[in-house]
Amino acid sequence: MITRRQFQTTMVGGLAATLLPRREARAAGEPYRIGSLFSYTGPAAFLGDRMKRSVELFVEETNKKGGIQGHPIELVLYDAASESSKAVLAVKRLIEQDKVDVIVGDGNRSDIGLALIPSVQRAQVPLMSVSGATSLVEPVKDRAWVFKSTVNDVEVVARLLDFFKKKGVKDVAMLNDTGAFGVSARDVLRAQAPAAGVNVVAWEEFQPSDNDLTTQLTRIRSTSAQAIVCWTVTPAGVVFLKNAQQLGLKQMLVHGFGFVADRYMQLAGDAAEGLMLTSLKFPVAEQLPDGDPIKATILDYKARYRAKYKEETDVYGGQAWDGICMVAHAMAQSGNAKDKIRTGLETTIKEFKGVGGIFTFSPEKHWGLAKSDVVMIEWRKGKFQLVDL
Amino acid sequence: MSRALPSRVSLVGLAGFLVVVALVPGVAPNAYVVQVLAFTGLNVMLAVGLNLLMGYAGQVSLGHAGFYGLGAYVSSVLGVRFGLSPWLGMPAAACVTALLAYAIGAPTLKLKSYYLAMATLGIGIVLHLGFVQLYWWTGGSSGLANIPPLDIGPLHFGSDRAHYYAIWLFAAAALWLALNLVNSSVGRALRAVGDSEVAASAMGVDAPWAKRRIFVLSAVYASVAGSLYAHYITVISPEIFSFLASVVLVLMVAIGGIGQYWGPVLGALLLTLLPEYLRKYGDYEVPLYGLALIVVMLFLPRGLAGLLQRGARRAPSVRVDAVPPPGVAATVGAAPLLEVSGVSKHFGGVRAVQACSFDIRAGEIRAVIGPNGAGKTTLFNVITGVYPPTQGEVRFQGQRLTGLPPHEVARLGVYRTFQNVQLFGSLSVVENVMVAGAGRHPDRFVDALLARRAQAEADRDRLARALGCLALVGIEPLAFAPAASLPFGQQKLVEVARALAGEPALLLLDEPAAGLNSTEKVEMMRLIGRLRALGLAVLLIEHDMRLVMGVSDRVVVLNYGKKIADGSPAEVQADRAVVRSYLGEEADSVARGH
Repeated sequence: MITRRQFQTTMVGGLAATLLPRREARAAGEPYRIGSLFSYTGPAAFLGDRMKRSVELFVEETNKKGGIQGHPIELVLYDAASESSKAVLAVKRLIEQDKVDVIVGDGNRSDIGLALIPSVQRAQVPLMSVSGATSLVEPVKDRAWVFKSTVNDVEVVARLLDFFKKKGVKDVAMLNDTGAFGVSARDVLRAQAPAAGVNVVAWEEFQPSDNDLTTQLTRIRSTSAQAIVCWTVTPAGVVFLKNAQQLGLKQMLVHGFGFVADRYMQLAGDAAEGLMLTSLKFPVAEQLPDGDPIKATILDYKARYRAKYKEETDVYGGQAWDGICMVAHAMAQSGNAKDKIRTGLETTIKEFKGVGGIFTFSPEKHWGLAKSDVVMIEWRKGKFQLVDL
Repeated sequence: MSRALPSRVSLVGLAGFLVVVALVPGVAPNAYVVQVLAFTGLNVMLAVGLNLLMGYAGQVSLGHAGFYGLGAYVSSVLGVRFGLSPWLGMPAAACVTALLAYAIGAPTLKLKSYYLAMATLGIGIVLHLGFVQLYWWTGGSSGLANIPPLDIGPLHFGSDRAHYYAIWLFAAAALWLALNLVNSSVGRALRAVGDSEVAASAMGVDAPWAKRRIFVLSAVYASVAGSLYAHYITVISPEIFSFLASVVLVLMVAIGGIGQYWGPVLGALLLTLLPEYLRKYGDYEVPLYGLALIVVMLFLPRGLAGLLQRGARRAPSVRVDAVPPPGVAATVGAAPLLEVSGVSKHFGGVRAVQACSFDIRAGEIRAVIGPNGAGKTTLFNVITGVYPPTQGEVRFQGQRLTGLPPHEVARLGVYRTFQNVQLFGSLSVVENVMVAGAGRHPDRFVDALLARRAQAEADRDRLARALGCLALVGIEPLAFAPAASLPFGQQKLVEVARALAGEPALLLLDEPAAGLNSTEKVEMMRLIGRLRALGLAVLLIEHDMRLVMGVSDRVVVLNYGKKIADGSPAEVQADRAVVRSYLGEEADSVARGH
């Protein structure tokens, strides 16, 4: 039982500690301070956990090797807890109290990342986002301090349309979720399809929480669609596969790049057999030809992660890995002043071999990947198989 | 003689708190701390509003994050899509939220129990879905960006400090209004409703209306906080306003101390500052946070505000002299005061009261007796509007009572006590008495919020009259004790005093002597004598025959819901049917000499 006095003392002490800035013993040789913000609790944790571990792995290895040009990295890591109001406070703490030079990770969800942008823009601190939405880095004039280590749906959809052309698929149906990820891809497809000579014969939508898509698929069945494209990151994508199997649909089934997860494939069982997916090269790294420029990079990262944590990483962990690698690269070239890091990213990240692809940033383009980093893969016999490089 | 009412919250305390709030940014080491404290201000607004509902009216809202979100989205969408200034968007959002809360409150708050919790649970989820689905306005699940900041003309709100002051200005207003409200008769009536809705209604409090007003106010608090959040951070997304956020708000109130003015303030402080403080423990943040909450719950069952409670009462602040209750002017004419005509009340197959008729004349003391289960209390409940009769009607001073809700019956001049004492446990003795009497000084919500002078004067008059009623029943010295601390006998006297404060023409006493010892019974008989002297008519349910026969002018006897006798005490005592019903057939035979 605590007494009132004890309790008050604890509370006052706690409040005082909250109000006082964080002071840590600084290592000799002026450390570079990197802040990191991932959601490793809450719904977004299944992505954030490996991202966090990847960043920690990088910092540990770099410091063992003597840091960035002799400067040890001081990592300040906070949990965004899948909540943007928490993330807003956390990013403020990184900037104002921990005085980090740069931030890697934006809570690993597009909406959280968007909520952080006003803070980093105002404070002029570079932020390396690991989330999907194009609006995180576009328009660049309002996003001068934000970069992104993932692919944009603009490239992914373009790659998919190339594949359709190659396979002679003229009529397709689009079935996207009403979340940011699905709606954005729908708009991109609407803009790109006419020029690619692809005719979208059905536009259907579903809620991320839906557990039956029979109505939408029945409508699609009565059209001339040769392929059905489903765009979601939610488990409703499994329902799509199961319903399509139950209805006996013979069309080519395609998923976007947010669905490349073994777990989803296993949930869908044999309904996923033969599913086509747009993806980065990461999941099929082992099958890439030896001449592929990033094959070794991917395999190296996978092996280091496995050695440290005794488990496999995934493509999302790889996004965070690329993010911190590029930030460290820019800091090695230009030092740790915030504006130097920003221009460093814009000018020194050229043909940078990451695990997601080959990154090239410029003052006009703050996302690094291109159409050529996207491949078509197929789920067959319990494995992702490379189909079209 | 007199003192401050024990449940009053000190304005000086609030002023002191706000001074601290105003000074804090000066010593804050950086903008992060200022932002955390600005967020705390938002949570204080939310929690204080929710506590008015939960702690005072006894109703839970599980959808408060929905109202928070509605405030954020309405003013943001108006700003982003239609270019409206936040200073217009914010009141517009508050109006929309108030209308919605009013509409939800209308059906659910007429019912007792926790229907509001269920309705708000649903509304919170529907609103959240709306934020996601109406994406052409709200930006869907990726949220809405580029929300205009709180600028007023050339005055630009750029810094966290400016926002801190803007937010705390609103929070201060919210705290001040809440303080006025809980110190007013409106706040007292709310506590009464939260403690016992049946008793509050019987004392003339319009319980559904009282709950609904406070629900709307509480929702508006949330809406304003939401608008401020949106225009401060300039980006919102639906997950901030999810069901989980509603639960955190309820937790703030619970941890801080439900129904205590400073409770939600402390709860909001703790639940906003603690997670930020614990951040430095990295992976241990979440377990430590959980542990802290468990410790508070275990060792501080009354919440953090329990720590602030002082043993000693505050010093006197107002001088009031007791005003004795006025008598009832003797009415000329033979027209009965109350007429019960052919009243039946059935509960499914149970016929609790069957075709019962009798009347009461002005100034008369009338008793209803009968074995247990004879339907006496049901009859009381029909007369006072708690139950509608299945058949028949009740008239009071020629006016139909049937169909009126209990508080309107009370306001016409019919007050009652309860068989199982129903005092308002969170109030002092005198405050219990002050709840009655809305007829003389109707509650004015806006006056109460703004602490208008008329309100204070009316309340002083209520206090004087309440003390007079307590003097009449002989417990004035206990006026400032917590009602729940009194022994049973005195609680019964408080109930009589409370009913008297409504200045009734007819007083219904439900077993006033039950549970009393013989001295207390004599005291109660004397009290009923004093009530007669005031000119009140009394309808009495009682089992104590000495008391009944000693004070009553006429007695009605019920058995199995039917009236079996009606007359003077002597006539009733001689009635064979009555003797049979009380003592059985055999005793009747014995009495007749067989």
